[in-house]
Amino acid sequence: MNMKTNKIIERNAELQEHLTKENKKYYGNLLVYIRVMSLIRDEKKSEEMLLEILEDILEGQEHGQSAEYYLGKNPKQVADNIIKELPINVIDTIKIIISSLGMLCLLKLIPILVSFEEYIDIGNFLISGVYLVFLVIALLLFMGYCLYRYESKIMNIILSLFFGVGLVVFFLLSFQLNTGLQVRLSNNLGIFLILLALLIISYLFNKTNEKQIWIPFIPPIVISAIAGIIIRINFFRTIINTSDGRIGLAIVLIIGLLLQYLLMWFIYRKLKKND
Amino acid sequence: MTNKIDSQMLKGILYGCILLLLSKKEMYGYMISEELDIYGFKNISKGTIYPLLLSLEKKGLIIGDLKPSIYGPRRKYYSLTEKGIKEKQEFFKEWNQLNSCLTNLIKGVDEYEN
Repeated sequence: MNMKTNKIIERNAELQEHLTKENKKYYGNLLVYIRVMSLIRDEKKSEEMLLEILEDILEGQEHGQSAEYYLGKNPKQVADNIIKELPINVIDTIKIIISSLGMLCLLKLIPILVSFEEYIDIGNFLISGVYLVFLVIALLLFMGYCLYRYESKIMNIILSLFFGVGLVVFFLLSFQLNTGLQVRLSNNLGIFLILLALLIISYLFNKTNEKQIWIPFIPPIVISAIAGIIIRINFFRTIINTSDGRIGLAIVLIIGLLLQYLLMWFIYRKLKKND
Repeated sequence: MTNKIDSQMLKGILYGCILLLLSKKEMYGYMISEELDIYGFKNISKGTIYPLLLSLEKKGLIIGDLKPSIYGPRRKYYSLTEKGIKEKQEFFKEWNQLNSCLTNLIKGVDEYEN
């Protein structure tokens, strides 16, 4: 099998459209469960298996068999047995950590870089970074744990609570923790870090199969990044570092956020229509 | 507990069944399930096949190859490797032995009871 993993995932998404409503639900749960519970395992192998099962369900569907009839009434057991057979893959595990670091760039690095702060608390950054990686992994595993135990509505409430509390703790940690391990952020270092954050984010964006969901984040990120770079250029800094300049910067950042919410609303409506 | 033994036993039997079926011709998942139905394994949920295919492939007993199917789209066809052929023969031998032992035992118990 020489198909690339993202091609397999794309093909999977296309084929899922041909499933009946009932089969879509059954297979959708199996897919999410296997994906989140096999985080440390070989992604390509697991995607190949998922595609294979989907193709077989579709063939069964043509013969009048439901997915539940074909795969059985205990999909969790089937999924657990499949996951056990998947080889562990270190590189795929590292990928999860990189994705979490991408989130860290979004939530923490860019806001720091837009501010006028000259010092950056490295200890705080590292601790909240490690916390975020654990939060993302715990959230995914918890989602898998809930999937075959609770109804989808209850699961969504539990997960939102989990994520909400996790994020509040993250922000508390971010704002309150003072490790004293501070580094002076020179203009050049600041610009370099902004470009690095943009690079990581665009790499992750390029890799994701659900680009639509992330499109709304582009305006605030791009505006924040440009603002962050501009305030690090001495000529502009003197202009912006006046009260009018600061208000102007705040307005531009707010426009970025408004654009984000507007795009989110449009995309949400579009996705709902497609459903 | 009974269920666990049942599923363990079933797993072992299906393991051999897949090897036997693939020695006939190369097949993809759904074809294997259809063949199992034909031979009377109708009540078994076919979800059991997939972990077994992964396990057989990992052990190097079968090999998967993407090929166009009769319906058009490419499917993963499995076939036996050299090692798989040997394993199939081994399974066949062991099963026959087990089968004759069990038949003798049942006959013995029957005679005792009557």
